Amino acid sequence: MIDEASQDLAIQYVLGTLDTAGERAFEAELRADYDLLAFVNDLRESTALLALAAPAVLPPPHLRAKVLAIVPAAAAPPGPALARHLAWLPWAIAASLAVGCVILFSARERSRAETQRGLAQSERWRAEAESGRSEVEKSREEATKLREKIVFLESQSAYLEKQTNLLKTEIAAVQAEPASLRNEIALLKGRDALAQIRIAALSAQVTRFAKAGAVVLWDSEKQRGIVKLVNLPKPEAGKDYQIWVIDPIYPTPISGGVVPVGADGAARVSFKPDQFIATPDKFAISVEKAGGATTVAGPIVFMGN
Amino acid sequence: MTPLNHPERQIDADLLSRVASGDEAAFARLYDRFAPGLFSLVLKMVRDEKEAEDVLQDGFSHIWRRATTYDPARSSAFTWAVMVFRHKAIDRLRMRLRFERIVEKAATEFSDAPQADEASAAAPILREQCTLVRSALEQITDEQKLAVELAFFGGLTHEEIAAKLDTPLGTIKARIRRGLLRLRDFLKESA
Repeated sequence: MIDEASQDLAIQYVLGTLDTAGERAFEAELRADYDLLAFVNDLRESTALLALAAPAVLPPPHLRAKVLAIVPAAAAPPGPALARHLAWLPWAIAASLAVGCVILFSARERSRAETQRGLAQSERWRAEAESGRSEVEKSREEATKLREKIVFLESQSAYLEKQTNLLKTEIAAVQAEPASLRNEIALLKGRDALAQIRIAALSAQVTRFAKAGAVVLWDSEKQRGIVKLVNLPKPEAGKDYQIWVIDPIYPTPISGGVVPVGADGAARVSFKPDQFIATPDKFAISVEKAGGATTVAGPIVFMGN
Repeated sequence: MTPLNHPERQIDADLLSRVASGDEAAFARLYDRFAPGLFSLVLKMVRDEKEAEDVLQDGFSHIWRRATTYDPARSSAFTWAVMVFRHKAIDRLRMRLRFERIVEKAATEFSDAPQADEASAAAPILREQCTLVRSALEQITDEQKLAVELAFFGGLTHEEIAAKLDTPLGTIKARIRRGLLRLRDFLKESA
């Protein structure tokens, strides 16, 4: 019984798809295993019959002459025939010589013509061979050029890859730059904003307000300020605290509006004067009628610059 | 050329033996007996009439020069010739680097291949055998048939067939094995 693995090897052997080493190894097995050899021979017979499954097509008639013409040109097959016919050799030679003498003359002319034809044919073949050779040479040159081109393109590709990486790094750096610039600008703006802000601590102008405190922060650019008050006594009924900005370019203080104070005596109010303040020379807080006054009418309780 | 028929098989073997002795007439007669079947085989394999003619010439040249290597104990003369021509055709296919393309074409066209006029293309005995082999092919599954055809006519290895059909190698081996063994058994029973 032949196992499936050996059957598969036998099939590959019959189909001629084993490599040389595999073929040799299998042939060694065949020499030692008669059953396997019989299996292979059997399989070869039935497999070869598959050739008959091909659609039947007759070879072209001219092919027969061509095939039979190759026979004399091909090396004569060695083998037992030579030995079998050896006894006839002297007769054959003698007969050949005799016949040869008779036909030599008549054959000479024909031979000459055939030789001429042969030479012409040979010339044609030589020309074809020459042309084929030049084709091969051309192809070889083209292959060399292509190889060189490939090497060049490979080096170009490596260079471009390197450049791409460099550009990517630069792009990343440039992209990071706006962020740092924005940060710097914000910082500068912050510094500038602080520079623009003026801080004025106001002093109590009346003893009753001695324990109170008042601070004004003024932003020239934005033309607005913040006043912060602590421990301020509650204003009398019908009265309000009012803040003023004193600018030399104006004959009278400019109102910043009423400053409402809470029950705890504290206030933090943002204000914006009606007029443009060029030079905030001083800030003042007065007690005015409820709702505020257009000019300073009541007593000034705080002042400072 | 009748491998299943003993007298015919003997005639082929005798002719080949005479060819081995340098008998040109025997060679011509062997050509007449073998050429139709072998031309059909190589034409199916190389799918090009000119190339098939070249392979046929090359194959018969081989037979003329190497007829002495034929061993009648090993196979019939026809089987020996089929294997010689099949290898020549495969060599040609590989040499021309058209292997893959042609095999693919052959595989897809196999089932729909136009049938030649069998009556004019083959002798009566050969016709019977062609019918028998085609009946044998009907005994195996389509998958087995495809794998066997790719191996025999395409000259592909088991591995190449597995890759081509995107199927495990073990499955391909089993398909070819079962297909060829079924063909063998059927042909034996019918002989």
